Amino acid sequence: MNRHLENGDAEFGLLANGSSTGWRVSVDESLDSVNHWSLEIDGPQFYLVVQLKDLASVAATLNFLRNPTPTAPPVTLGKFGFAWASLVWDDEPPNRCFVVIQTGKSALRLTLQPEDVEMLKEAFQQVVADLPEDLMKPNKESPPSKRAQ
Amino acid sequence: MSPGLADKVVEQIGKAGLPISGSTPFVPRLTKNRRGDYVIVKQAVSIGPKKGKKGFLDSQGRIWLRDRAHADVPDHRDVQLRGGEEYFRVDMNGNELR
Repeated sequence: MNRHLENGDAEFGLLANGSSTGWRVSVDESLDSVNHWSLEIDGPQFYLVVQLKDLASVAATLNFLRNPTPTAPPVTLGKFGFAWASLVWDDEPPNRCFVVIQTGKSALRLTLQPEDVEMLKEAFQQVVADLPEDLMKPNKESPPSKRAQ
Repeated sequence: MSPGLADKVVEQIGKAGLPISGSTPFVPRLTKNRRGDYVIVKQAVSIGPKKGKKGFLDSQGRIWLRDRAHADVPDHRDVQLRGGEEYFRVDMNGNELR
């Protein structure tokens, strides 16, 4: 791992961002490494940064937020340390969504209310519009595909 | 706003809600990425209770963090000095809060 990343003094470049009311979403690129991006979600209830496997996952997240489907598989936001952070729809109304970070017997679940989902969707729309199209190709590395528990 | 900033950078500053007016406006530190585009530099705070939170680096090396209303202060920016050793507050209009 890069020394800067370990020490926390790494510099990033803002690649794309979006906002809606209380939410800010941005994709930052490492200035030291090739193809190293992070997704930052700053909202009223929490602040989250995950490492993206590719930029196509940002568009996948937007598609997920646009289609509330309880049976849909979770969408992967990115890596949180050794765990994957995902979004999963609730299976009962209203259209709540959960951010789930789970590894082994440990889990963190954050609830997004329907109004938060709408705002996040708007912010992600702006982020996707801001991203360079030539960087949007998917990476072949596969996160877990099973539905989060 | 500094003259000569690319439209994309100006738009990103607006979406981030960073103040561009007042007595203490945000003036971004820019660098070129690997594609040769100018981007706003971000950095995480390295010390104190906000350690690990990323903010926008300004031309003086200060990190601008977003903070919500609390303690009778409206939504504002915490401008972190020397990686977070000290900070001061700036309101959304770019004026220092005391």
